[in-house]
Amino acid sequence: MLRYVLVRLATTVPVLWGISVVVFSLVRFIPGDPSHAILLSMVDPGADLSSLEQDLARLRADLGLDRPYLTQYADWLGNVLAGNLGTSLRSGDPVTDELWRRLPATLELAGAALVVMVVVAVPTGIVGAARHGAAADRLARMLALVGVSVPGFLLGLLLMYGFSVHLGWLPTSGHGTPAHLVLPAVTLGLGLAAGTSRLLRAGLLDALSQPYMVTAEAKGLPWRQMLLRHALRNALLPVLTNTGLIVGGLFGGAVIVETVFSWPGIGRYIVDAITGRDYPVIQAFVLAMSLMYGLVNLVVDIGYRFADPRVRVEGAEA
Amino acid sequence: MSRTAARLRALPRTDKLAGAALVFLLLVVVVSVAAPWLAPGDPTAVDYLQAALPPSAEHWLGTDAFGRDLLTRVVHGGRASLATAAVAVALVIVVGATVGAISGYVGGLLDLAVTRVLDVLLAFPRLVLAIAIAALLEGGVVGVVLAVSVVSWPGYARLVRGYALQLRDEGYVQAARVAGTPWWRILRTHIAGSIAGPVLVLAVVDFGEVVLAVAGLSFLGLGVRPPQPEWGAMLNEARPYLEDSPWMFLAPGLAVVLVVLAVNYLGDAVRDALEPRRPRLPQRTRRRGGASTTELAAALAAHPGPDLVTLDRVSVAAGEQAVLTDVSLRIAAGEAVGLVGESGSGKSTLAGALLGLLRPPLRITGGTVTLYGQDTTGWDTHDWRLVRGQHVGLVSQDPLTALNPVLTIGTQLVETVRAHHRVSRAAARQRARAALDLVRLPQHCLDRYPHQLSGGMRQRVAIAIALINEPRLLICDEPTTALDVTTQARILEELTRLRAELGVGLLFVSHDLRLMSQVVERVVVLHEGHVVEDAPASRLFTAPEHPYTRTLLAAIPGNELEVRRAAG
Repeated sequence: MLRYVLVRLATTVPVLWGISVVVFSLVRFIPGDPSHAILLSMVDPGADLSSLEQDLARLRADLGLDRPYLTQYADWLGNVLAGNLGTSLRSGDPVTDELWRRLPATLELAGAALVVMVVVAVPTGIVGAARHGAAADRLARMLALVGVSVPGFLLGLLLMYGFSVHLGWLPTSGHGTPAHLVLPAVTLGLGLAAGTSRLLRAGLLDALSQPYMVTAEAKGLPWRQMLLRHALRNALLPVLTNTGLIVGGLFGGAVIVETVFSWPGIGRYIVDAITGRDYPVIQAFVLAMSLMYGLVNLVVDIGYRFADPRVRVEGAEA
Repeated sequence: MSRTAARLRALPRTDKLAGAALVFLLLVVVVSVAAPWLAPGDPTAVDYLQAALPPSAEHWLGTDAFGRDLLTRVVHGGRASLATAAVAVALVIVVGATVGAISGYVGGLLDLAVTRVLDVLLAFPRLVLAIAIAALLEGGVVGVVLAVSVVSWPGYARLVRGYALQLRDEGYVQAARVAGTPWWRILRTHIAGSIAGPVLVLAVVDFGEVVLAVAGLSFLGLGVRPPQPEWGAMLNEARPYLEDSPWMFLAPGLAVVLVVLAVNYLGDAVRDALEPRRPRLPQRTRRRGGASTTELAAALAAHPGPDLVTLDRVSVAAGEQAVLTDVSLRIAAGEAVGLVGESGSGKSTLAGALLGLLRPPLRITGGTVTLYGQDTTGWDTHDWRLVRGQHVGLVSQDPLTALNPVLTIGTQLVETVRAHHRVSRAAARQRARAALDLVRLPQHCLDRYPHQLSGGMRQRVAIAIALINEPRLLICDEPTTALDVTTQARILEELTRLRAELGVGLLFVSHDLRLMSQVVERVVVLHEGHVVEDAPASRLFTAPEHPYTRTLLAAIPGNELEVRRAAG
């Protein structure tokens, strides 16, 4: 097991390095180069840039943009490894601090959304499989299909219109009380729940069709036990494999949901940065999110070893 | 490919809703293409006198804060949204399929490099990377298309690479290579043909997600620039007016949802049509009534009759097709009966019918199954549960697939006891130990998982599970077929010994008469769903009556002469 963890960690290193190269190179996508972006963020829109040639050259030198690409990358990577993700162009504050400051709010939202997802996806997935083909299954499937088809921002606006504007039960936006958390978490959680419910239902139907379920039935086990012990344990494995995708959806979805509900997390910070062309912030955001995503996938892979005894032993012997 | 096409053509007829979704999408495409003629108004013309009007005869969907007609904007916005998504998907398919096919087919260092790049790209959360790319490209349609494509193509490349890798070693591809066909032509003809189906399915399934991604990026202000209409951007513009003018967000919102819903439904339907999966689920029936089940339990425990099982002219069909016809069979207490026949003769179906384990499309169409003197006609799930695992044990063919892979042997034994007896976990575990002793397995197997045991050990576990509640009848459905010859012999010895020790009745189902001869006293020969011979083992082996039985006997090596003489 320890050995598997070490091997898995070792294979993560080249991927992390690749991520760093991609994230660093992202800035090259900027039309012109970052110095243009910075200058544009400082001068009035529509100003004549040709008169600023000298400023541009000085800025390029200040940023080290006139040095060879590899040198720039090495410097940047050194900073990143030291935990320095650069400075915000707008505020001049270190991006790392800004991200840390907003991380708790985003984690709060993500955690609550995961709870909503599990509470919705697990029962509907089980009912769908247990009542395969019946009205309850068709209803659950239709709802799940609608769920994966409704964009998060629209669901957010609909919920806001219904529960805040129309009924006045919940605040439209902001952060602080549990009431503020409800709508953003439900918006983000329902979108993820739809996909997970579909996955769980398919996994259960597959497990229920396996020969070992005939054995379970021939043993005279009660239906509840066949479903919840024998089939569910096997059906959770494909769901676990897809946790990475779910978490990826969580991160991306958080950006949109935080924008809709003015939630003071990383997502809204990044949208503000996009509007302000604050490219070091965007770069740091991608890097931070990718690292967290990689970490989650690592934990999931190791967790999978525990959940599936077949893989667990192979790993121990390898 | 032709079968794929035929299945797709049949889809709108078999699934009416899929047909409706297709018609709707075609309509959306036509409207989008013809937008300049169908909705000739200028979608960007500002008229403050008409601002924020609710839906009316003049403005079917109302107007926005700038007095622009929402219907016009939704129609023109769809043009932008769908065209962007379509271009992105096309780009992704071309790039992904090309890179994947070449990488998988050529292999070597190139493949290694490509897979590493894919690993890195797939290590990013998709939407996050797309947002960053679109933001750094400073939005616009081109930025959105590139952003969505960069994050989507690795998935296609990986899928196609997998197919190309498989196809490379196929006989016809190798033949083409040996014949000197250049690699790019092989890729174009052989490989492109085979992967077109799966790639198209993925594209349909993915299209909805791409439309959502494009709308999401536009909602964040990264796509089509105002005042040009686009669904996501329109939703963003409508946000401040949520309270007073909800129609402003309902119009583009409904448009996005309906299109994506139709695409997703169609995607599901296409996938189901091309990769049909028919789950074979355990059957459950409604409860008859508590009292009768209790009476039944007592009657089964008392068991007055001499016969464990009686089948009286039982017929089973799969849909319209007959599987068993008028099969009669009886097993007396302590008797060992063999059921022999070639594969497809209905042997396993018969074994399943005895325990009410038939799954659709199989069903009993006639006759009666009597267990322990009780007519099973009309039994519900609870009634069957009384018999299964308690009065009748079942050992099935492949011990690897018959045991649940994620539960320990101990758990699978203990739960069998506790399904029928109200005993503590510790007491049940004690019985599990005894059951392992009975089949001569070491105690440490309790904490093992099925895959940690050999095939023979797994089959002993299956026998232990079947016998743990001391039933008087054991059904063995091809219990040795999946095992090697020496293990077969040991399991047969074991069954013979257990029968002698416990006095349990046995139904031994097999295609192998020779194996059976070592265990059973009477043999029933099944041929195409009919019982063709039912005779004591000694007579059947020396004087078979039915020609089919003679054929079976003749198939045993070293037996040919003897049988010919007996027949003559």
